[in-house]
Order: sequence, then structure tokens, then C-alpha cells
Amino acid sequence: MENKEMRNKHKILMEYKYEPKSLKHGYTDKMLYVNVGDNRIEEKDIPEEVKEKFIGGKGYGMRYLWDAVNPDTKWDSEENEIVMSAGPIAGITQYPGTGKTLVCSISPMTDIPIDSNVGGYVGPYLKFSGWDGLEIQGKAKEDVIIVIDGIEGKITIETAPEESVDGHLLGEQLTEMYAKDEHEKRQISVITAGTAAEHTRMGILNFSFYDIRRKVARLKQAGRGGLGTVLRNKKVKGVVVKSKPVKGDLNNPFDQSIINKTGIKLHKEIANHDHEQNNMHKIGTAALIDTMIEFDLLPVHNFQYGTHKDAVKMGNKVFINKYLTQGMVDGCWYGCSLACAKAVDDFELKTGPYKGHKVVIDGPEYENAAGLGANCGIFNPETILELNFYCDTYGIDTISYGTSTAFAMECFERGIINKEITGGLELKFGNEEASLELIHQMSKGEGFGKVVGQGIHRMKKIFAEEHGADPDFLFDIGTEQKGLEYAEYVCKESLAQQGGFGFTNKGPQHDEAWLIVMDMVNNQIPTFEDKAEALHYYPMFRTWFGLLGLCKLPWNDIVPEGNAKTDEPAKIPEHVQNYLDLYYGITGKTITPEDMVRQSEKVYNFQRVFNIRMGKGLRANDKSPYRMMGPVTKEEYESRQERYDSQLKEKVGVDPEGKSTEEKIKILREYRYDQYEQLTDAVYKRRGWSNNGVPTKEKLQDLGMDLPEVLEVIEKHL
Amino acid sequence: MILNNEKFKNFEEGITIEDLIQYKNFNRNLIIVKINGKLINKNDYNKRKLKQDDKVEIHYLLAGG
Repeated sequence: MENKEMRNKHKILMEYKYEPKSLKHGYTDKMLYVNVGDNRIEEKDIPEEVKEKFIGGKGYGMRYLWDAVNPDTKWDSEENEIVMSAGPIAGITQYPGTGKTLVCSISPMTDIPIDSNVGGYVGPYLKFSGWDGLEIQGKAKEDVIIVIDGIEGKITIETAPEESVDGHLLGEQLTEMYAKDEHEKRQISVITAGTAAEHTRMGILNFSFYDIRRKVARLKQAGRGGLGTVLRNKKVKGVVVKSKPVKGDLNNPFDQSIINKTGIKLHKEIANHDHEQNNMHKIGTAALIDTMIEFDLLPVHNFQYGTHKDAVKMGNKVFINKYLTQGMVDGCWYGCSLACAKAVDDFELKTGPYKGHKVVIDGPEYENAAGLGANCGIFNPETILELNFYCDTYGIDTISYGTSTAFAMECFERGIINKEITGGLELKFGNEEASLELIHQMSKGEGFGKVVGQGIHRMKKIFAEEHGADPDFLFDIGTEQKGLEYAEYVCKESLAQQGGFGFTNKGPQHDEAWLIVMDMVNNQIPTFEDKAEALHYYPMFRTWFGLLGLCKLPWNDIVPEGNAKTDEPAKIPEHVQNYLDLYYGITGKTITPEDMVRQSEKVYNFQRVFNIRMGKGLRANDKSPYRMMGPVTKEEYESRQERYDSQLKEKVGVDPEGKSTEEKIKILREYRYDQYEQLTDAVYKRRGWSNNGVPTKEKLQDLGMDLPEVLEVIEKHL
Repeated sequence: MILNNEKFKNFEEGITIEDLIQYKNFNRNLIIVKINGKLINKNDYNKRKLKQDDKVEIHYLLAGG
């Protein structure tokens, strides 16, 4: 059906006209509220106190989500919201990595707040259309789209009965439908999910940006925690944001010149050094693959191992030389010269409903290659790319998919499940056809794909209760925590990274603290106190990006020339100063690095208390499955026997000689559990939390976050 | 020789920083080397021979996830 014909079938359920408010110093101070259940559209003034305490981005997401829900709210409750906000720096065009949006909701995976950051143009376009953020609440009776036209000053809720659901099609359809001509397509950004988001808990949101050279709506993903599942449960098919053309000063900054100057400095740095450092402009985040193989950190066969003889088949050079198109403008927001949003063009699909179609594939990101590939024993780059494409268009989180499938494969190989249970799928490691079939099943809501699509937390319960599996063993090898699947790094040899995953607010995602190299390779943080300091500073520092609308990559995936001479090179002090300058340039407020951490701590602790309010967020919820801490099985131990034997001797003080592998595993496990507990104590102390992981009243008072509703939650636990 | 707070077991008299970098398979553009607290210039990686009582820090600045 033609787009025009599809649009003619729309019924306008609500129309709301408004005068788009211009930005001042990065803010409009307006929140847009859309209820698709009763077709209500309202604007809210954002109070000064909220702005001061929560800054924007994830801060606004958490604040408005808290107000919308109650302790009994589930992901599919009417009152659950999807809240998104880009933050005050987002939307400038002079500095790389300044177009991020943070999306929050009660997660179908974890039942607590999730936050996920995403590129694409939606967040900045919302700002240019007069809104610091958007809340979507309620459930529509039929499929709808929300259209925010910042040029006309008009918002509509429209039925959308005929449009596709899959992301790559719907992104194109809506872009074309709401643009007057080819030129205007760049002023449109679209949010979509996908068909699998309707049948699994791990649904994603795709945020588009129109690529004028490729003439296609490219997709970036808010991947973690099932945000797409929430969107489709609300029967929202998509959100369209149409903005006036982008200009460099739309944020109406306090001091444009300092922003320009800071941006030019970083652009030069990237031009001079990226090719000899991480090569982000050529391969993007997949630059990590070779190093992870080298350091035995690439997850293989459900995190059992850190490398594989075939891993080289999916190495960096393979993607650079054979698949990724070079020389294109691959930034997911204007002005990003790091340009890591790589793509494969004219890829002919071999399976599924789009078999034979030639498509553009966004990626692969490192996580996609590692999760869809190595962790499932798949090293064929073309299968990885095909799975990557289908994850995106069907609306599935590549990390949860990869980790969940790897878990199911291990269960199959160990006889915990069989072909009768999988509906005939030979779910062995390396079975590419089985993984592809699984993903197509998720799209249709059929077969064993529907079971895997529930994620590991629920699979463990099903396998134990219905198929008689040993729950303790499943707990050991099921790499999820708080209900969310682990991101794709083997962290057995880095205690700090075990904590980096384990003490996260949302579940084991790597975007809070990635300390593997600092800890395991450099041995820079040897004591519990050192590790605790790192597990305080880095999560807080990185939370700041999510408050302001920034991408993490230009912070430390490119390093300035004089960095080695600074006191703390790992923090990239010159780039930290850049952020302080940008903050001043936008808002006119001068802050210090300590203030940055403090701004983050306010939101971070608020989110921790939010978790407690929803039934998690205590010490028991920060425990790790042993697969992420050490060797669970005999095969794992014996594959790295020299390493583990020497650790027993040197660290534990036990002579491994004459002991069986089982005995040695047990001793090592006790030692590592104890180390993790000691680290937990140290981190909680550093963060100002009780021994049970609860932010103390004194800590909250010190931060100015002793809000009555926050104290009410913690008082029950102190 | 102490490398990154631990005794380096494979020390051989006369090895250079460059040898260590190759042994560790680091990208030399992403590392910072200090010997006894003193920053070493990249051009000197080949020249500086390491001694048994040196305290060496090689910090790999891989940004990661």
C-alpha cells in the first residue's frame, strides 16, 4: 500500500495546538504529556527545583516516572510510562556526541526502572519543537501513532491501522509520509519498535536519523530492558517528531564561542589521532573485538570461555575490509566527527520474511558481534549481520537476545532441555540456522522463540519448574541479574568489573563502569578501597552523560596528545574540562569536576531508592551468577587450569597439587564469593549506603535529596 | 622487576620497554609507560633497558564499553 493511501486511513483521535517555546540556555522548561488511553495531550511546566536536582535526560526520566507509578505498578500497567528526555547540552552541533536521548520506563525484564540511551534525532528534535521531554502513558484501544510537529505547533494522536510494525519499514514509511519532499526528510525522526517487541520482553525502541547520502532512515537503538515491549503494549506503533531545520545555535546557549572553540579542539584531535588509536570512524565500537579476543574477554559459549579458534573470522579487519562502507558521514547526530555509527550497505538477506531484500544494516556494534556471534558459538560475520538486522527491525535487544540464546544453547548441550522442548530446534552452540529460526519465531510469537524471548530470569523458572532442572546450576550459568542479561564481556578475572556489572542500578549493563582493563590488565586498582573508589567515580561520572544528553565515546575513545602527562590519565582530564566548558557555554553556570559527580549522585541515589520502592535495590539484588565470577564447570576450570592453579597457590594460599578439579573449583568459588562480599562492603561504604545497600538518610541529606517521598521508602530499610 | 604492582616473572636482563609492549600485545598509541614514577617518551621505548629493581607501570588506556 502506498504511504499516501495508508495516511488516508488514519483517524485523528486528538489534536493539540501549541506555540513551540524557544530554548533558552539548553532548556524549554516544558514537558509534553501524551496519554494514549484517554487521548489526552497536556503540557507541563518543569519546576525550577526539578531542574536543579535532576538536570535533564535520565534525571527527568526518573523524576517523572516516579511520579507516574506506584510500588505495585508493573510494566504493562496503564500508569506505566515511557519517559524520554535529551538533556540541556543535547542538540548542539559543534561538539561530537551531543545528540543522546535517555529513555526510562518500568521494565518488563526487571520490574524496576530501566534507562537506556540512544542516538538518532528524536531527543534534539523534541527540544527544537519546544519540549525538554516526553511522557507517554496509558494504553490505546487500537494501533496509534503520535505526531509532534514542531514547525506547525501541532500534536496529534492518530490511528495507524495499515503501517508496518517492523522498524526498518515503519521508519521509512513515517519519514516519507510526514515529509513534504526529500529535503524535509532530514527534519523528521521516528521512534519505532518491531513485531518481536509484541511477543517478547526484550523489545527495543529504534530512533531514526535520515541519511541523506544513502537516502534511508537509519536506526539507533534504546536497547536495554524492554522499552519496545512497553511501547507496543500501549499499542503505540510509532512516534514522529518533525523539527525546523537544524542550526548550530538552536539551544540559545549562554556563550556560543566557548562551545565553538571546544568543539574545534576535539575535531582536530579526532582528525589527528583516531586512526592510530581506536579507529572509531572506520569500524565503530566493533573496534573492541580483536582486543577482547587477545585478552581472553570475548564471551564464548555462554561466557564459559574468553576466546575461540574461529574468533578471528569475526575480527576487526573482516568487518572493515569486507562489509562496512567507508567514507560516509556516519554520525548519529549532527557534527559528530567520531562517526562510529557504521553501516553495511546492500546486504542481501538470506532468511525470513525479507529474504532476498537488499538492506542497510546499522552495525555491528561490538555487543552485537559478541552476543549474537561468539557467545552463541557463531563466528560467521554474515550470520551475525543478518541477526543484527533482524534484531533491529523486529525490535529485539541484541544483548538480551545474544545472552539468552547462549544460555538456552548451553542448557540444550547439557541435556537440560531437548528437541521436544525446543520444538525440534537443535539448539547447539554454533547452529546458525537455529538462531535465525529462533529470531523469526520471536517475530511471530511462536515456538521456543517465545520462551527465549522472556529472557533468562524467566527461562530459569520454566526450566526448573517444568523440566526438572537444578535451580542452583541454572543460577550459576544463567547470566542475568535483577532480570537483565549481562552485556558481552567476560569478567571472571576482574573483580572490579564484577562489581561494575553487579552494583548497577538497572542491571548488568556496561555503561556505568567498564573497569576490566584498568583492573585486570593494568592492575591499577589493587585494593578493595581502590576498586570502591573507581566504582564510585566512574558510574557517577558516566551518569552525568545521561543527564546532559551526551555520548560516552568522545570522552575516552579518543585521547588528547598530552594526556599521559596528566595526574590521572584514565579520567582524560582535558576532556572533563571540555565538558565543564560546554556546560558553562550552554547554561552560563560554572561547575567543577566534583560538582559533576554530585549532580550525578543525586539522580543515581534517587534511582537506587526507586529500585527499593519497586521491590529490588538491596544487597541481595546485587549478587552475581557465578559464571561471571569464576569457572562453574570442570571444562571451564581445566581449560585455564594453569591460571586457576596458580591463583589457588598465590592468592588463596592453597596447594592445588593432588586435589581434584571439583575440589579446586569449590575452594576457588569460596574465595571469589568472599572477595565479592568484601568489595560490596567497600563500595556501599564509599557510596554512602548501608550494609544492605540502602542510601542513608545522612547521604541523602548531604545531597539535598532528602525528599519526603524518598525518605519514606528508605526508612523501612534502615 | 615490578610490572603494574606485581613481580614480572618472565624478566630477562636487557629487555626493553618495546619488548614488554610486544609481549603484552598492546597498541603503543594507547599506552602510558612510567619507570620508577617517571614518564617515558614513546621514542625511548626501544632504548631504555629494564633493570631487575625497576618499577614499571604500563597503563593501557583502552576505553571499552
